[in-house]
Order: sequence, then C-alpha cells, then structure tokens
Amino acid sequence: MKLFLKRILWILGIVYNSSMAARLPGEFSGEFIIENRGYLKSGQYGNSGRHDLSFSLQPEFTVAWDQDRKVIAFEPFGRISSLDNERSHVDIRELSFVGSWDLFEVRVGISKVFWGVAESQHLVDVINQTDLVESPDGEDKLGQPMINIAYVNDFGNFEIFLLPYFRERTFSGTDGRFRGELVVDTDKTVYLSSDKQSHIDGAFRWSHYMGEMDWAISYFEGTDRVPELKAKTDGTGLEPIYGQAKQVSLEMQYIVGDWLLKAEFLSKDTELYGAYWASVTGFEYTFANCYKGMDLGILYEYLYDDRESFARSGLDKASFGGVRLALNDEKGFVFLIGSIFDHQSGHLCNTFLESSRRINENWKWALEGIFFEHPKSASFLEQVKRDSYLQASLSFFW
Amino acid sequence: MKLFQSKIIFALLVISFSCTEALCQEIVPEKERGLWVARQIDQEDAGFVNQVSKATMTLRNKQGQESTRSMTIKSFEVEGDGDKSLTIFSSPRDVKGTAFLSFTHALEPDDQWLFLPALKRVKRISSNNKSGPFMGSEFAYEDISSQEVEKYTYQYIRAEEVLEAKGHVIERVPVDPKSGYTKQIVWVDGETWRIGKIEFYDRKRSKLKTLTFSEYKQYSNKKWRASRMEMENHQTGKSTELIWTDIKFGLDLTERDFDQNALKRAR
Repeated sequence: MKLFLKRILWILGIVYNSSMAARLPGEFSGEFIIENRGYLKSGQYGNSGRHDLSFSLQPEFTVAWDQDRKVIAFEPFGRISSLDNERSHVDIRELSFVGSWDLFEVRVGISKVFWGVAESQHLVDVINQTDLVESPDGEDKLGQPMINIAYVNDFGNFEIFLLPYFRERTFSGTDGRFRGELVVDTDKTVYLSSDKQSHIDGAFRWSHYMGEMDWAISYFEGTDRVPELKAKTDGTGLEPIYGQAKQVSLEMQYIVGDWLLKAEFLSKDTELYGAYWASVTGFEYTFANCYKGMDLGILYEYLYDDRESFARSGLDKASFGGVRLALNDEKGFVFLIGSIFDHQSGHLCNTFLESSRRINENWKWALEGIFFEHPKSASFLEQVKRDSYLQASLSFFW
Repeated sequence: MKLFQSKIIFALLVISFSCTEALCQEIVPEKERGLWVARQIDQEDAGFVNQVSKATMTLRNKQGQESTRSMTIKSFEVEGDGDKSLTIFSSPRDVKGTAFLSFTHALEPDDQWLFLPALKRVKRISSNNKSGPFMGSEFAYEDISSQEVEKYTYQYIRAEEVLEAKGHVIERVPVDPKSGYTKQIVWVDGETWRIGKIEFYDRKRSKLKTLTFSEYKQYSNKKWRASRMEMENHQTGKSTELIWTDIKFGLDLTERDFDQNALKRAR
C-alpha cells in the first residue's frame, strides 16, 4: 500500500511538472482517469484479487504551426494499479514531429498508426504493439518509434514506414488477470533475429477511395508483434519468443446508404508458426435519427482463421454481433453491447459492453464489462474464463 | 380591371425597388424567381476561396441549462463542385482532437471521414444521416453543411424587408428524401444577399425550428458573414446559439490541407 501511495505522489508530480508546460506556446490538454474494476470471480491460478483500483494519466502537449502542417506532439502515459504490478506502467504514447510539404508528409518519432475497418478485431493493424495490460480487448497500443513518409497524388496515399526499435507486448503479472497458469516473464524475452530488439521493421501502404469505396493494401515485414509463449526450462514461467513475419493485407469499406460493408483480409507468413490467412467480413447498419435524433446501429462480423487449432483466442470460425446506441444528446450518451459466437462449439464465448456519458465540460463517466462463457477447452479464452469483470470509471479532461 | 392593372403596376414597382441587380427580377419569370434568388445568394458567396474561423455553440434546454462546444472550422472552395471542410473540436474536452472532414457534392452523397484521436483512427462515415443532431445541438448536419443550389427546388413567395433592406422570401424543398425537412422558408436581403432567417418544417410538415442570423460583418474580401446564429426548436423549447469569431479569408491553404493526412494531423 505504501508503494501504491508513493506511485500516486509520483503521478501527481508528473501533473505538476506538465502544468509548467502550459507556459510554453502550444496547447496543453489531457485526461486523468479513476478506474474501478471488479472481477466477478477469483482467478483460477492463485490470482485471487477481485478488485483493481487504478489511476491513469495521459497529458498531451502539442505545438502546431504553418496552418497546422507542422505539429510536434508529446503524450506520456502512466497507470498505477492496486492489483497488478505489471499493470502499473508508463509509456510514451507520442513524441513526434509531423510535417507536410505539398505532396509529402514526414512523421518522425514515437507515434501511433491505426490500420483497419472492422470493429470486433483489428486483424491487419500491425505497426504498434498491443499494451495488453491496459485492456484484454487489445485496443490500447504502445508508442512505436518510426519514420513514416507519405506521398499523396491522384492515385491515393502511398506510405512507407521504417520501424527501428521493437516494442515488447505487456503481460499481466502474478497478481494480475488475463493470464494462464504460468506468468509471462518479460525479462526473459527471446528474439529469433540476431538484431533482437533493434531489428528494423518496414511497411508499405497504399490507401485510396473512389466514390463510396475506401480501400488499403499494406505490406509489413519484421518482428512479429505476437510472441510465442514457451515454458521456461525451470518451469517457473513463460518466456515470450519473437520471430520474424511478413504479411500482406487488404481492407475495404463500401457505403450503401445506411450500410457500411467491411472486409479485412490478412495473409501472414511467420517464422514460428508457419503461414496462414485470416479475414473479418461484415457490416454495420445504422437506423439513423430513428427516434429524437438517436442512432441505433447493428453490427455483424464473421471472423475466420485458417489455422485449424487457432489456440490463442479459440476463434477460427466465429461471429460477432453487436448493437450500438448513440443518443446524440448534449451529454453524448453511447451504449455498445456485443457478443462473439463460436461456430465450432456452438456457444457464445464472450460478451462485452461499453457505455459512457458526459457529466459536464470536463468530466465523463464510463462503464465497461467483459463476460466470458463457454470457452473452448485448451484455448486462451479457457484460461481467462474466471476473469469476467465490470468496471466503472470517471475521467477528467482538461 | 383598372384596379387589377394598378395592382400589377404596384407589384412591379415593389419588385423593381427590391432589386438592385442589373438582371432585375421582373424579367425573371415567376416560376424561376425562387431559383434566381438562390443563385444570387450562391454567386454572392462564390470566390471566398477559403475561410478559417472559430465557432462556439451554446446549447440551452427548456430549463435554461447550458453546455458549450467549440471548434475550428476550415473551408475550401472547389471550382465546379461542393466545398471541402475540416472541423476540429476543442470542447467539450472529452472530444478534443476529434476532427471531421467533409467533401460536399451537389447531388451525389457527400464524402465524410471522422478522426478518433484515442485510437488515431480515421473512419469513413455515411453521409446519409444528415437529419441527425450535430454534437447534440439543435443544428442538424444538413444545416451546417455547405449549401449547394442543386440541393433544393425553389419557389418564390413574396418580396419583404429583410435585415432592414428590401428582400425576398423563398421556399426551398430538399431534393434528398433523406433530409429531415419537407421545406424551408428563407428570408434574404436583396442587396447583399445576406440570409436573415430560415424556418424549417419537419417531415410532418409542421414548423420545427427557426434559424436567425444577426451581427453581420463585411470582411476585406467584401464577403458578409453573420457573427451570430440562433437556432430555436419550437417543438422542444431547446435552442442553440452559434457564435463565429476570428473569421479569416484567403489564407495560404491548398486541397492538401483538406485530405485524410491533414485530418490525422488536426489538433
């Protein structure tokens, strides 16, 4: 507990120091979150704590000039968790310069890049490593050092990425949830490439749109963001092994009236577990302004992975269905509920919900939950079946 | 008969006084007079090249509770097509950094992209939802998007004084069946073609909202802009006030400042 208090003081120190930045030209903003997560059951591997009170802080400092064509941004991030030491962590989400010169745009530094169109899974998104301790949904990412050059002409946006430093995935510690029987020991990371963490990864991307159709074709070559987890010889934990991988991906979205038709295809060749292909295809239909300005959206996506025993998530043929309600009121109330159905077992395997509402100009509350049911045996979901949680958070934005 | 003739003469007199353009409207056939007025408004606005301004919306509910939204809006005139615009939100603070890119087209659907800063994600969105509220305000998306002449059919109603000048009242009917309105009544002054007021009628043909423009200022490029717009919803008692500040024209902007890369850079 003492350590916990120390960390709070340390975070407040960051707030104080970053408030000094307000005197510099540019803009200083950010978000402070108090998050209270309650697990419905105690974990199955001795990780019996059911309550995780955590605080996170993400200040943002930006300077923009030349009609916003040049921007410097700095966005550190930190979280302290009462449950899991590994979840208490810091990262630099952004520390970059981006400049646009007519048809060219250059981004240098630590940054974040999103690829994809689907909602249930971000299949083709590969530039940034997942900050898995943040949330099991994998949407949170670690800052990635990069040089990114974009060239725009009438045939679309052509981008190259040089990624000179590899970020390791974060994993829960002994007291944390979302882990298997053995804890991942991130001090024992193994790289198959002799360049290890300084292997230079690269990517190329072409994105364009025509009428109601948007698409992107991308190629990535470098250290696989997904490690293989192998038991250490002494049996005390797991060591993450990072191999090399190449992948080609295609993503498309087509709008027909109130329908968004989406598809992501991935063909990936990995050093550790061979070649495979996977896809997410689906739609989002919105009953726009259906009652007093509110939007009701229906989402469906089909998840496919051609690896017969896609053991990690247990989802090689699955369907995602969801409903999104946005009141579009002055408080910006939104509610999203979704479930993943496994076609092989014929069961729902997890359900999640997200909801948020603004309190006033600076405050907002949010509710989030993930519930696991009927996981396929020997899959990653089987290991986390007792990790269903409900979380309430209060955010302060400035 | 005589009375009838004098009525016509009187009407013609009113019309000719209400119109300072060389192309005077008494020579415009009555059927096309509404469209003619719309074209005058459009021509008066043409040649603004680009505009950057800050906008603050104050939303008021029936009980008088207020909330605000502030944003920077950049717009770019495109020859032979609708305007391009980039809207960057700065408050409420939870949506700070969210940005909206829109390419307006006369008759085809607009192209729209949304930038979500938390995920750094650009999402193409359907422009079908034009009747929905913009940021929870009384303005619908279609009220704030670029007004192209082809988006409506027009009918002339009458000559009337608008903004202390001789003006016109026209009715316009949205061409797009997805519009939330059956018609709009527009009051416009006939000298500088400034809009004074717009009344909106919902799908049930009842009066829904009134938008009043005021505090017009003329800028160095001769363009008139209202600094204040007040949208009143007659059915809910809610209202939204939109205040424009720091209006600048003719900045060094190109189409590259209105693409998806610019959307991602927006802060």
